[in-house]
Amino acid sequence: MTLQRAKNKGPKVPVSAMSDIGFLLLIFIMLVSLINYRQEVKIQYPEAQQALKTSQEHNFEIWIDSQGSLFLSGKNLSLIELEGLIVQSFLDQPDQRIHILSDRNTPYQYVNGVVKVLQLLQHRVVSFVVKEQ
Amino acid sequence: MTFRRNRTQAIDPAESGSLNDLAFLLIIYFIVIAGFNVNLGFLMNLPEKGSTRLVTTQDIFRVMISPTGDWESEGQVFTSESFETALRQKLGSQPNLTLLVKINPMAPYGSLVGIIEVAQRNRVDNFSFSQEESP
Repeated sequence: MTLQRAKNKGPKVPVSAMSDIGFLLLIFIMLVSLINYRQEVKIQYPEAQQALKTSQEHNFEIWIDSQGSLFLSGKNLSLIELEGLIVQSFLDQPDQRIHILSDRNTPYQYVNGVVKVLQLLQHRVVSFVVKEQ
Repeated sequence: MTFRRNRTQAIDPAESGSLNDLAFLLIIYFIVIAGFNVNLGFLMNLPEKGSTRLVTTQDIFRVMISPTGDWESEGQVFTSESFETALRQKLGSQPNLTLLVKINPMAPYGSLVGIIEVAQRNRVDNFSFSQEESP
């Protein structure tokens, strides 16, 4: 009986699972990027047909819901707290732009409160954010 | 005598064919995500607190926003279209027109944004808005 020697093909790395790993990586990156996503307040945006892009590299977003509550990064705060945070934020990043994201049905007096604070702090430019129709 | 060509197969030890698809999906995903965070809106220049400006009274176009969000001027209620028409007519005769908007504290914010849009579309340079003083 003649025994046949097994042909030595050399070492081989199993790579068939590469696509599975890639797919898991994709899901992981998606989840991580969602964690960094901005915290939005549920509002009905005012609508406009022609709006400009007002975002800059550094943005400071003040959210006002339909009841007039103020939110910053998802956290509810008062006008006095907001004033302090704006001052602190501008000391860190002087070139940032302020955006007011308010519900279309919010009584103007609440928006006016924020505008007065910005005027008091001598902020000249503010963006009224809308949704394009 | 016929020569047989040596058939050589492409060597792809990592079997990376599916990585193209994954990279493509990643690109699409990041393009979509990047588009979410862009704010669109109107840039407003806030005047200095307590600052005053001299304007000829004839050049002022006063508009009130009522608590229901209606735009009113000299007893007339405007729709978006009729307001734009009236504004264009006034701009034709008064190029230095100042649009002065008085807003009721209970007026919905969306109404103000509507006026701002019309004013910016018609290139009204002198635009002022403030809340009505409570009696």
